Amino acid sequence: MTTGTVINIKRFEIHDGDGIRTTLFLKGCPLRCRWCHNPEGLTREPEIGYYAHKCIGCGECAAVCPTGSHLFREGKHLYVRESCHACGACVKVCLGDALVAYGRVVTPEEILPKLMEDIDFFRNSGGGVTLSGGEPLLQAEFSAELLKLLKEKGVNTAVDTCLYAPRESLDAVLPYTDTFLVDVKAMDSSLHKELTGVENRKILDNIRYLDAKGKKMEIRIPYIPGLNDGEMGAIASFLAELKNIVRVKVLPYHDYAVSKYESLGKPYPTDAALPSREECDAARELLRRAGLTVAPDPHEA
Amino acid sequence: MQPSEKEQTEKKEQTDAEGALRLPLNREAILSQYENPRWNPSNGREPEEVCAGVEKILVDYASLSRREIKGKLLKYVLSTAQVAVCPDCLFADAIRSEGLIMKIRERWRRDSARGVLAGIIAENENARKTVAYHAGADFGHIAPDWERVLRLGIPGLIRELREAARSAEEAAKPFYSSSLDAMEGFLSYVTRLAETAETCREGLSLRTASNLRGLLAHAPQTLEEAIQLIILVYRVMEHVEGENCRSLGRMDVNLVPFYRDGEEGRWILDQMMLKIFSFGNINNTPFCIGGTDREGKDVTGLLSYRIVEEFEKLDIPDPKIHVRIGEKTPKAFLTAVLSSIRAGKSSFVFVNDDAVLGAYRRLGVPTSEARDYLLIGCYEPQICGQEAPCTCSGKLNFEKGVEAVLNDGCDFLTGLRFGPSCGREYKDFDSLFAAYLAQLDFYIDRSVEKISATERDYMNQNPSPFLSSTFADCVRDGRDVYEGGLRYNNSSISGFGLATAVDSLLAIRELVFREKKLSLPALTEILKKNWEGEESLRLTCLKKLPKYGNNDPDADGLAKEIAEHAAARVIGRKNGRGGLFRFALFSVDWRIWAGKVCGATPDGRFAGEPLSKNLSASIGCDGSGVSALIASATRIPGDLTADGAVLDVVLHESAVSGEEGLSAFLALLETWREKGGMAVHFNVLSPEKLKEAQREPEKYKTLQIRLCGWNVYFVNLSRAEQDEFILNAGRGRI
Repeated sequence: MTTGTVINIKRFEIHDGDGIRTTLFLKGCPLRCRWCHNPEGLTREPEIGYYAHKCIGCGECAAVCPTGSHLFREGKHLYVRESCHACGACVKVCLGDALVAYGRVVTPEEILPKLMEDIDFFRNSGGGVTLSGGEPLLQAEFSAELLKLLKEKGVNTAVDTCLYAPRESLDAVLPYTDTFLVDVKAMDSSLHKELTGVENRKILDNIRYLDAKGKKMEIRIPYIPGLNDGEMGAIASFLAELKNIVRVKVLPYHDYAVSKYESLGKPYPTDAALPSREECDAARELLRRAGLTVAPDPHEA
Repeated sequence: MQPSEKEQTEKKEQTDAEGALRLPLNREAILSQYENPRWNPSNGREPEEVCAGVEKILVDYASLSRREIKGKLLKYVLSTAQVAVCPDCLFADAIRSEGLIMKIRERWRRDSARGVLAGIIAENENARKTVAYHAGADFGHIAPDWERVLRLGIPGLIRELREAARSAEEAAKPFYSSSLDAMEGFLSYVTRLAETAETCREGLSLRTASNLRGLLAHAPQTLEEAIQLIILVYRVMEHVEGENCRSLGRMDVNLVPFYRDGEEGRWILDQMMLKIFSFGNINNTPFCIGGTDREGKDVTGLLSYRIVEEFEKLDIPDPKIHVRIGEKTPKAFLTAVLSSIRAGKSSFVFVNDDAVLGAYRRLGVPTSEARDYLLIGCYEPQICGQEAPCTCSGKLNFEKGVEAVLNDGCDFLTGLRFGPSCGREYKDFDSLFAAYLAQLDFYIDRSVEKISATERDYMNQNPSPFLSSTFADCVRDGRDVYEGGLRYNNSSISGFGLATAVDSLLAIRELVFREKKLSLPALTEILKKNWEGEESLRLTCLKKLPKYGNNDPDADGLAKEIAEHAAARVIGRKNGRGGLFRFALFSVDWRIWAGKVCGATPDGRFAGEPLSKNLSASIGCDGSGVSALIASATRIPGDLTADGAVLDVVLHESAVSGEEGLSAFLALLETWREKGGMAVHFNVLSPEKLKEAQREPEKYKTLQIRLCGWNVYFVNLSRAEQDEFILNAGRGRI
């Protein structure tokens, strides 16, 4: 039986493809982008997030923990990540919402009903289900099965991917995916490796492959001042050659994930500055001039 | 009829004098017009004198019926109390009536309370004190027959009264004489306003005078005459006769024959909406737009759009605008309203025609009649010109039944008995639940009995010679609105605190009967001590147990069962005026003051905290988001609630931002409608902005919030209410 490791589900999502969508986040990613805002999606193994400021010191977690990883010393909660197996027992009893489970193993059949709950909203908005992450193609077999089930129910599907994946993985999901939401982070391969940990040849090949197959793609370009802001011209030239780009979005870097990194005991990976509205708009303009359909700043009413 | 040459010359002089300010909109002056009116002493008497005259009428006419006395009072007050005109406002209505007639009504009400109703009031006193149920009179929550008022005008209303009086039987004669008395007063009031405006000769006053003179002579012929008439009738009904006039009508439908699009037409709408805001009604003064005609044809038109546009431009929280929607409502119109809501104009509420028509069908009203409905107050339907809905005659507290089953029918905090004895222990959840429903039955039966008894005495307390004159049925039969003079003479009971009750029952089921974590008496003791020393248990109840509002079929099913049970017990029961009872699910602000006297509840709520709002989940317990909340709330059938049921939806700004956000907003509304919801209103907020407004209220003076049934400025809320919105806005975050 195929299983997948998933993090959570977000409903009424309007920025992950067309219409009102339900987004399923899968766990595990081959990239290590320095601006990643979903650090809980990096590793494949389940993890526990601990938000110290929310702990009310009730001690329920220590009472149920099978590995003794929650300690209370002089009323202070100490979470020992090293001995924790991330079984999630503590999360179920945490009364302060301080402990969060990142990652559980499910079958496509198990998760399907939850993803279908908003079907009426999908129908009225042209929306559907998006697989995101992490990297859905890292769990290609699970993703493909799930997407197939969704397509059988007539649901519009999208896959939010970095496309750093073997061709077989891409081919597995391709027949059941209506739209690919694809990140393009840098055109210079050595810069790409510096910023994400991997070179970009496989990614660009996969983009061309999807384009040749006539697959609808939405391109997302994270904009991180000082890291990839010099790449916009090259990205625009690359994209201008493609035929099936339905829209391009420039996603300004933000630092909302700082507390999530803390909760996972991971150092925050960048000291990049937040981009100004003007910078991002200039990038959008540059892409527009290359003949691309560029989405405006999402916060513009 | 064309305006006379003299009138035209006067208007021209005025416009020339105004120069560039031909269509002046002195916002501040309009909004403050009732703060210090320039009362005209030359054609009215001082308040002390009017007050003395009122007392003299009570003595002189003591032998007459209360309705005849009320006619005399209306004639006297409307003919003598000083009036005032604000030269910056196109519409005149101020009268120094000082609530005199309402004070008399209060005396009459007390007479009844000490006399004929004393027994039944005493029987239900504990329920009143503990807010298990409130049942009694509803003097108002009704709209006059606006269509007939505008069609006939003042002369026509009087003419039809006179004609009917001529062929009336002896018994009905006092009806006509008292209504004609009221109308005589009305003529004097309008005449004196016209005189005052004529002598004022400032600003817009001559234009106002000409409108008033026109209304004395004929049915309204222009937009400004029509609006002036609506405002005059509203003023007399609401502030002189003293019934809550809770809708100014189907504004686009009623005004469309008069509206000429253009700069001036828009300006008149601006004048109208500022005037309505200046009334200063804390619950807002509503009107309705959209919907269909009696044949089912959509009525949305240019004027509907213009009203939305001008309202948005004015940036005011009131009037409250009811938007009727159905399958045929143009998407462009819905998008215009949603765009306005997204821009922070939260005064709109959407009402679903299908749900309303279904609810009326359950009451036996044919769809062709029901299609011409408007909304009273917050979201309560009334068939135009044919129904006295009395939308707030009864309030049923779902939470109190939980206290009762745990405590043998008695209040946690005071020990007062408000329900039948039922013991404190049950062999399983089903028997506890049956006992809970039996408690609700008792509250409903008692409410029906008490409301009906009060209504049988209505003519001693609140006869309405003026309001009744607006209804064709009353005039034809010589029967007052409050003695069953309309085709539909209904009353209403609204259940509130539903989510609090459901979550509490679920908590009992889980903890006591399934997990057997503690006994029922032990839980009761903990609740009576308001969770003291039991914070872990309280948080478990609050956060770890199933909650209504998250698309959980089991939890929502319980809510549906309770609502359907109560509705079946209420709907169609006979009231004291020859009409039927209607059911509702809304809480308005009762949930706050009722919550203050309710003990701690098994859902984790502390004693004294507010109960859940309308059809919403308990505060902070809708973690699955807006689509799940809508799925939950629409499990409760819309056709249960001919008296209205509303869902409050809080959306984070980011959820509906950009073009795709607006489309998503529309799809959200459409899905809610297709699922059969009855009424929904939205607040689009960000917690960040609200917190900033808390810190710097000066900068956010016009930040609007839709409260529970009405719209206010955020900075005017109490700190606790502000905090609740900040929490909910955070929940709505995507």
